Amino acid sequence: MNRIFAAFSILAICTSSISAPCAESSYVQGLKLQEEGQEPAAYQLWDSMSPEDPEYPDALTELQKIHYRRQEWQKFFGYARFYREKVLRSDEGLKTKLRARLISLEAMALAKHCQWGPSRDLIDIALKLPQISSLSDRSELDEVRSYLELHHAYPHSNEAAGQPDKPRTLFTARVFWSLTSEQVARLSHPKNLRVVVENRCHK
Amino acid sequence: MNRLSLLFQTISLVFALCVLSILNAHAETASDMPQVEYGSVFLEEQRQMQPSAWQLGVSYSYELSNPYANVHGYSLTASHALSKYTRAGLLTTIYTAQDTYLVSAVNQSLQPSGGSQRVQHPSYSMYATIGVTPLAGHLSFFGNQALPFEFNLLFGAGMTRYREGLTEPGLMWSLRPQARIYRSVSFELSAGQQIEAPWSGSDRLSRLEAGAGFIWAFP
Repeated sequence: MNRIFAAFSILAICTSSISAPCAESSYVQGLKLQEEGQEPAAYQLWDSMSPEDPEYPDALTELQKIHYRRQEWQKFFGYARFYREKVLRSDEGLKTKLRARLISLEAMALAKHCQWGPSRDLIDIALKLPQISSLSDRSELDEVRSYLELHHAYPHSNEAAGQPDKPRTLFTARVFWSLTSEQVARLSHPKNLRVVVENRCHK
Repeated sequence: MNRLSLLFQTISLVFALCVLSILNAHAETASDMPQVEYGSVFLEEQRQMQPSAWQLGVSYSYELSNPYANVHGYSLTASHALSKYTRAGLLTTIYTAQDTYLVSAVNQSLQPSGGSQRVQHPSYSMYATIGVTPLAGHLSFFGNQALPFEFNLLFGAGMTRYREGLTEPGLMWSLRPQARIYRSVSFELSAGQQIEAPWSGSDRLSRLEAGAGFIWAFP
């Protein structure tokens, strides 16, 4: 009996080792695609992830880096607003889905538009959160805070290119429906969410 | 007695403190992260850039222009996207038809003179189709739940086979508004016309049809 039990145990262990490793997550697959130079495919994969996915904040970080690099500011601020209004407000949102990098990117993007008040407020609020506890997160936010002060002194050195596209309502292929903050929280995905931020660097 | 009441009060106080601490723990929500508002928020309205490659549909139709027979059509459609706004496909319809009272009334009136009326009953039809989607967007019903909406035009060429053995070539067109009701399922209404033997002067027949059905889109 003991020999039979041992044989079954060994068989079970062997089977589990063969079946493992588990399938890679979409986030990891996206990272591999990006390393291979297939950024559009990686973008599609990350953008198709559900906001309920535990790895969604990490995928969103990569998406925001791409939006930032491509200077797609309406999309960038739309995704950032969705993150703060929906993802962080979900159950355990602040505990498990808070990423200092996302807050930093948003603050730096606001600084590029010379929106000093909101950018400072974001960093100050994040630094006060008890969930921002790791040394690396706090030092990153402190660094961004210093960057904001430096950028405020020399606003034209690193401003966002071009003026924001103010939505037109007639004879346009794209129509923009105005939303309130409460309605943002009801969206299931931020792909159509746009936030138009005025560039105050020229004022 | 005093000790008992003191004990009871102590237990009540401890219980109340426990309840308060539990409530406070569950009350940790987004109020811990005050919101920072800036900019103007919009939802960009646009048709999905990647229309579904394949669509399969089932529908029911009724012929509105035939006074001699109640013709019911049960259709299967399959189509493939050619571009963002056009599709090519196949429309197959099986018909059931029952004579109306008018047939027997006309036959009775023709009987004295030895005449009779022959009514052709369609059996099935097959049309190769081209679909165009000039309008797409979202519709909100009484401000509740915006549904993805498309307005399609369908054109086709094919044939209709009758129970009596006759086969007629035909052309068809229809208007097909469609609303997505679930992830890949849409509800569609249709109204249009089939023109049989369109190049024949005397044998040309025009059918007006209306119907409804469901479309599955994949992938």
